[in-house]
Amino acid sequence: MRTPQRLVSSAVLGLLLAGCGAAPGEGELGNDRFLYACVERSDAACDDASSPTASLELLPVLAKGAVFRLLTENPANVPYSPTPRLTVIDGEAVTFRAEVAGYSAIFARDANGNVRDLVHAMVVEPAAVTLLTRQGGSAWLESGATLSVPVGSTVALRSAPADALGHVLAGALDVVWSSTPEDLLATVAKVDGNVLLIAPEAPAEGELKVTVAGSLLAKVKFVAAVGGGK
Amino acid sequence: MTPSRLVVLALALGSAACTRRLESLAVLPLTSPPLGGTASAAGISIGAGTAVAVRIVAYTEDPGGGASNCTTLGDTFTSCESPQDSVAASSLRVGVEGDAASLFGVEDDVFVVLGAAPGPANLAVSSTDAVGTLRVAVQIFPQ
Repeated sequence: MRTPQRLVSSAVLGLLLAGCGAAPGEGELGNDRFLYACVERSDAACDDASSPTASLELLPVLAKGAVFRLLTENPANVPYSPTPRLTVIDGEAVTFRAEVAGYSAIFARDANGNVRDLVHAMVVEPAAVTLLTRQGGSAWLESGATLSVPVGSTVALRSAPADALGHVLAGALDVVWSSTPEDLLATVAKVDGNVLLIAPEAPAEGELKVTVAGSLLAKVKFVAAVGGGK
Repeated sequence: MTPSRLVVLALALGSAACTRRLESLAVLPLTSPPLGGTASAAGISIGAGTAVAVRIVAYTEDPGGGASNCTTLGDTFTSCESPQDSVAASSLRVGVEGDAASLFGVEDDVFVVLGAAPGPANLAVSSTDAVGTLRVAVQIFPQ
């Protein structure tokens, strides 16, 4: 049986490899291509360290409530949501919010309002927050696990919304980092969207927490010690 | 009946004989809608919020009686089919009846049918080159 971590790993790999299909980004009519772009750095689909706002050539599975941007390869066309399942929050930048779980059609329309192509976005209710540490390699952290960081080193702690099966979901959601004690966060880390850059300069201990979409919570016990954690 | 009335009657009958009537439709799905949606001349069934692109071809009976489509078999037997002609794509007029579905044009004979809300609707297909209106039942199911 696949573990949740492996399921999540597969999902992230799928997101990262999302440009490798036979017809990447091609609309269902084959008249245009749709490109997914991240609006904010808190979007788990695009916060690769080397390209925090990269665009993807396949439309990833989106979190309900998430904000995202769509582009069409043909600049004469504009992405358009024909239903309120996806609402436009910025018409000029063609930025949408996923309002309803399920499939939603998105059109590429020309200046005359004619549909040139279409694609369907899949929107899923986020059910959990996943955590990933990155320091050279990457490792998944269960919520409640202990994160040990040697004083003087840097670790990135990344959060991402996931569905009930642990599949990472795309789209920018509100991400709020906090800590116990309250000043621990500012002392040992810097917030960058859904990524917490942890660089302790002195021994410290406490709890780091992240709240996604207002209600989904994940937390880790944090230890910073000279020469390594406990 | 006076000769002039006979001429008018003959012209009217001749005109009627040349009027083509829509007889049938082909609805060809160009995309695969999610959630098992389907599209054919028998009906379109898609989920609310999803869409399917279809090519619509409308056919008329041949008003000429099919003489040009007769095949002589042997010396005496002649087989005549009832040939159909498709009307020009540019002559098609397609509308939607009901609030459950919306229709968007792509090309003269290609349309995107959108499921706006669960419920029934119809596509009404007519042509400027033929008389009559044919309908395709549309059913929008909830996701």
